[in-house]
Amino acid sequence: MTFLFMVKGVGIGFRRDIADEIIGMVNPSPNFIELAPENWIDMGGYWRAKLDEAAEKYPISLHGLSLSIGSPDELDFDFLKKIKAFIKQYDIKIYSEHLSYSKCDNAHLYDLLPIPFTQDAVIHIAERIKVVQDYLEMPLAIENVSYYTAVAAEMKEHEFISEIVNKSNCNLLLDVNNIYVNAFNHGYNTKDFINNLPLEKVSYIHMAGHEKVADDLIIDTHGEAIIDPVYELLKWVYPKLNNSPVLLERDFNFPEINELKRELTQLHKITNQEEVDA
Amino acid sequence: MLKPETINQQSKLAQYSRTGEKQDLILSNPQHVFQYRRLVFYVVLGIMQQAFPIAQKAIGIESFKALVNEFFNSHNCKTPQVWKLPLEFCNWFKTSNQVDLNPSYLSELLYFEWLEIEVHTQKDTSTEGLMPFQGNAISSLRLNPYLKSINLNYPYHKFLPEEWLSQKAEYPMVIYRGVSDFKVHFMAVSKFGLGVIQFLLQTENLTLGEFLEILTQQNNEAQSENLQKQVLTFFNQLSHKGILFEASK
Repeated sequence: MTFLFMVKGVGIGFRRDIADEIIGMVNPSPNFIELAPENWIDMGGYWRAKLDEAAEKYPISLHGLSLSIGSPDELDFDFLKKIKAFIKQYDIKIYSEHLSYSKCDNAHLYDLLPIPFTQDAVIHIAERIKVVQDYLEMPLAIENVSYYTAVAAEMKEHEFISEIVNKSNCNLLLDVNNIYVNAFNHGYNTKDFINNLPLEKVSYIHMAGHEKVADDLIIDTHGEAIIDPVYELLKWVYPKLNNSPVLLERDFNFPEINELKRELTQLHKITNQEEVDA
Repeated sequence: MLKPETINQQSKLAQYSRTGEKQDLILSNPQHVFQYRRLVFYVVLGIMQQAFPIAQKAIGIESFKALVNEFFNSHNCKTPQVWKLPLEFCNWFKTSNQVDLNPSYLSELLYFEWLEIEVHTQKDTSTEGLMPFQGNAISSLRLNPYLKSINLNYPYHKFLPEEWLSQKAEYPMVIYRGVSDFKVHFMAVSKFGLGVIQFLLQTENLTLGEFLEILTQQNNEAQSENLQKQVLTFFNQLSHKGILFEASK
């Protein structure tokens, strides 16, 4: 099997519900696919065959769910060993994770909890990122996550993210939708927030839809189409970045494939600095 | 090093998300913290509902939800791969006091439903050298590598849930994945057939000739002849279903 490892342009999340559609996608087809290694490691049979079929066609990036980089618990090296083997097997060049925690008190929670924005957490997480990068022998990109309440915060979110990125020398996965969601939920200005991040470290971008569930709350669902203000934000920030690959995240409530193609086209236009359709 | 206050807040948020029990948290938007409980619990519930549709239907949605809630509250989920969590649920249920509070079939049913997932997702192994079974006495007998056998106590596959308890008996069953089509199949077998399959699972590279020899040694002549006929008929059935193969020794 040969793999096409250059992750660039515009990609889409490889989900089982739309696996066949993604494999057969044309005009436009994604430039790469992204998947959560947890959902594929150790898996054989039908789904492994589908993954291999997709891997023949598209370069793959990994976006992890369970590393729990912000956890007080120790890193799980058995798990990291499996990640490393998977990375090697599929010749993967981008591995990203969430700046959050999903395991605590020796129990996995399978969702992303917000880390207290504190100086001790900065040091703790930066050290752990370095350990992971050394172990995997590749850089890790960490994603700014959406959150619905800050917990015991002693510093601003952008300071927290920037200090971790700078101290660990990791890359930043800029999730534009999460910035929009957090700005709404926590009352800050999206552009000011972005300008305060180490944009030179952005290696990868996420775009997604969300759902407004109350007058004062948006949930980052990945279950809706990207809205125009989020496209606008990407259009504004993209020239400041180094042609980073952009990923369309859609995890459920899947529309007709033409709808996803329309979103890919919009993203292609933005990354190519073309006018975006209204 | 994390300060104890930071660890404490992280632990409390995790605890709240697992149990829904109020914790002493320092929050900027306390009115939204319940979203974490909701999101976390529904990930786990969704996985269990997907894994155990028959069990959920049998005991009812609310009872099933309560069971998952109890599991998530009291069990420290070990796997970083959520699709493997149903096995932890099966093992937890078997050893929890929930066994006494639920129908006697439930532990077995959960495991039976898990076996389908296990076979469907089992890591691929090489099937190189496997040939269709043709009754060659000097070839090794090889079972489909994606196969589990179970002697069920209740007929989930034959009767409606309300009849399971009254139909308690032995229902030997083989669950296997097609080597090339990846589909999971179920095959009801006789108790004798189950014994043969379990014997083959425990032995490696046994030829048909050696297998029949063992059969002869363990039975008298009249019985042996009859059993050999039964076995060959059974092996042909297994071969037809893609369960039995042979390979050069």
